[in-house]
Amino acid sequence: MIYTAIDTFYLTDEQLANSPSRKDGIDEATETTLRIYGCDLIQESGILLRLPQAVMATGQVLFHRFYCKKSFARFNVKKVAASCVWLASKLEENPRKARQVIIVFHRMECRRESFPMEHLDLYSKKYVDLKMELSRTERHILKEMGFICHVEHPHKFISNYLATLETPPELRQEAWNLANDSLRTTLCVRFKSEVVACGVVYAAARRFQVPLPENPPWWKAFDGEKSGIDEVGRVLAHLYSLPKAQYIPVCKDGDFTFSNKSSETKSQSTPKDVPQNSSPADTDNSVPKGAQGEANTESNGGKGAMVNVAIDKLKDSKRSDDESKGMSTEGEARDEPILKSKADHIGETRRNRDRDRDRERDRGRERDRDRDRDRTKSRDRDRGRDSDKEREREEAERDKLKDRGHRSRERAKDSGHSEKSKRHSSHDRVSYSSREKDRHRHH
Amino acid sequence: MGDDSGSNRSKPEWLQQYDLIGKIGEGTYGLVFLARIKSSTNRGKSIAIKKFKQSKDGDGVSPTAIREIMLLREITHENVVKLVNVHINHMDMSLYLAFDYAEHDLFEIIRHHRDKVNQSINQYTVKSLLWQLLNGLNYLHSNWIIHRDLKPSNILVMGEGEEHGVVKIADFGLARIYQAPLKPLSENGVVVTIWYRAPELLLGAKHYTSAVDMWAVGCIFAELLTLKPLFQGAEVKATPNPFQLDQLDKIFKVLGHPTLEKWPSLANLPHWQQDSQHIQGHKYDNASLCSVLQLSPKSPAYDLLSKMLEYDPRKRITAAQALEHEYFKIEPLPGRNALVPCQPGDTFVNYPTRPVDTTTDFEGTANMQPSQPVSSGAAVSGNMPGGHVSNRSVPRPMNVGGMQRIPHQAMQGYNLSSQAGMGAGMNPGGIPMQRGVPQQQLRRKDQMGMPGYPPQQKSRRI
Repeated sequence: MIYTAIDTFYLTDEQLANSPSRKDGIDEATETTLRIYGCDLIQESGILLRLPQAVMATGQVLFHRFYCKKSFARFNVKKVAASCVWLASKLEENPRKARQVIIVFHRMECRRESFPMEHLDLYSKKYVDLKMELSRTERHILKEMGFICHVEHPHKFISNYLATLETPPELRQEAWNLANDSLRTTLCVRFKSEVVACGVVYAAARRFQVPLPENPPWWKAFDGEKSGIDEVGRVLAHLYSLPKAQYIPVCKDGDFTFSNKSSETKSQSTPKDVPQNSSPADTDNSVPKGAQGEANTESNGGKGAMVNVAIDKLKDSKRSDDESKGMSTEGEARDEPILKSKADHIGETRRNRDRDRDRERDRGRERDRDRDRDRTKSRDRDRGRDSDKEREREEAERDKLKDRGHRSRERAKDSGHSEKSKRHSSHDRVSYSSREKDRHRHH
Repeated sequence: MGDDSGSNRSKPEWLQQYDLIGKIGEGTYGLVFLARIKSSTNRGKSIAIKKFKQSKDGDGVSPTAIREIMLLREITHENVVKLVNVHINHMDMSLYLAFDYAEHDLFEIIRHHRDKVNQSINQYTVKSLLWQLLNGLNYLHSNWIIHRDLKPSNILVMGEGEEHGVVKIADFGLARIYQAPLKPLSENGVVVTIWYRAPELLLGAKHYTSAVDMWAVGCIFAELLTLKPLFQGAEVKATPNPFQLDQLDKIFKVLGHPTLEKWPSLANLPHWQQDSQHIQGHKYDNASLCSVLQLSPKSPAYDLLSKMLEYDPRKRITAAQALEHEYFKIEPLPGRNALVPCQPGDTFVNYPTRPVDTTTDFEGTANMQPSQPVSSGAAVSGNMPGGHVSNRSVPRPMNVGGMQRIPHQAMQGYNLSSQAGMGAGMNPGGIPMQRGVPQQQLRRKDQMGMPGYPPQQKSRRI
């Protein structure tokens, strides 16, 4: 077994367009959604594990690199996200136990996908299998990386660039936030860290309308390229235009869960140790009970009634999206049209955070309160000036248009599944939430 | 023997490319085995396979193994051990690192001279070993890598063959990139085996530099000259406290008490203040490095060694500066084959190869009564950060293998590292290598901004 040496890990647009997932029939929008979803898991789990931000940054870069080499259809996004944050904690010298990682991912899954919030028995077969899967996936990641896992982040360049350019202090936090959000995209495997750093500096400067030197061009001093910088801005603007990323089961060997919800129907035999298909065989799907039929058996064409239902759900989705838009997005979105063919499809991080915060507040648990404080700080940092409100309204309009255009291209199957999943998820959340309250009261 | 035991068990697929010979060492991380390559392109080439056990609580691949592999995969130098391959055993989740095998290490060479030859190592060999060690270390430091566990058993020397007598720095389990560490290096805990530990480490320095490696080189240099460790202190392992009174006592007896005048940053070291009554309670009136070494204070060797053992890490000589020292410019000049002297008058020493335990199978269980285990040059650091093994001081029974091997000129079919600059590095045996000229092309990131060897410009960070 000879590993290919990887000196640098950067891909061309063509290579990204022909990713392993694409070859497995996963379309670009789905891959983008799963990339964002995986990065959301890494970020949230890192917070729960009390890891420094550098660990989550490294984990997200490893996550993107891995799925440039392997398909989402063969490696479950939840497993890879868990192993990436675990591996990153080792690389960045803040190691966490497998037990801690599994407990956190189990808990996040129950909340995100509205499974019953059960206790994970550390002596059950389920737990032992999860631990084995975590280790196996870690080895796959190391193997695909050729054991070269050094990651350089744009953050380390931002402060120096801004100091050299003598910009106002508020640009620093804005650029830093943009760099964090850029990790949810594939910018880290397309451009060197210096280019991404220049891109977020540029985007922050435009946001605050701070002029930067054009003659000579400021980016020349920082190893940046104008085309790369512009692309960074486009990708980030597109990221903020996307709805919250939801889990989409695409694995060929059936779905995977950290919780026991699916283990009831799982076969008793031990899953085979197949390197390429590490997911255990599983006849259950993640669609909540009551769903009419399985998502993957849904026909693409369908009857007129089904089409109408999908359209109605799209409207509902748009309405809920409008209600949740409380965050400002990038100013340059108005100045430059979004080229979807180039930009990656990525979800809006801050909107997700906002929604999560509301949900967590309803539960009122202490840990949630701590997390709320963290998110409150983040929100305070992100708060714009009053003049941004007008811009927000205009951008909301533009987002509606983009949403309509974006969703019309989605396949009916994906739309239907997504809508049904969302609706049932909401219903389940309400009922389980009351159950959680009872449990909390008993404690 | 290896073949017979191998055929009795089903071997993992990756293992079938090797003929297993036997166990050559062990440590806290696992075992080291000697093997030979079967394939026609490299038939008979010796490989050392270092096994990393999975930790008992099942926390996946050990961070030490990942770190060692990451570093070794990115560096290529004639005087640094070559990682040939990495194997993952899916059955027990073990990790195996395959290295080019080196028959000798400085520990065994020194011990052989002390116990068998009963005569000091000749000047040519000492100088060549030291030069090559510094050459490899300069490469590491130029790429912002601190080794942090330099000691004789980690300095390998190649046996008969194409690279006969070439020095290889081994065991990167404690090594770190220190260009921009996210945390202070001191958070890794206690590093460097105690006899080779620099005084700033013993006094609890929060920030330290590659100078800790140069102190260790100084201790190794002295040991090559005198055949015994220079500062042989007893380590107290009860607490993770970096302060080791006995080790400091051994240092002060030879070099004298450090003073604020000569080492201004001494006052900032935590244990200089906390344990000052212990430290200053002793008197060191008769301290003398030259009497311990039996070298003239005017000799270049003494001058170089005293600069390596400078208390103040900022004044301590660097690897780049040491390579330019007068000691390496006087006769005999150092050569690529450190073991075969080029002077006709020098005694040629036939060093024994490392003993091999052929009774232990690959899983580590013994088929018969095992002979006393010995450590290979790569056998040191454990899985825990800061974990290390004290150097051996007990003589071991000598088991000389009578096997003869014929060297092969063969392609490096399994070499994962780049071959860039490899040809330029080749040097006929016995001819001194050019000093100050980079032996290898750097392969690491351009952002380092330090192409080749920075002879004089490199400044050390505090």
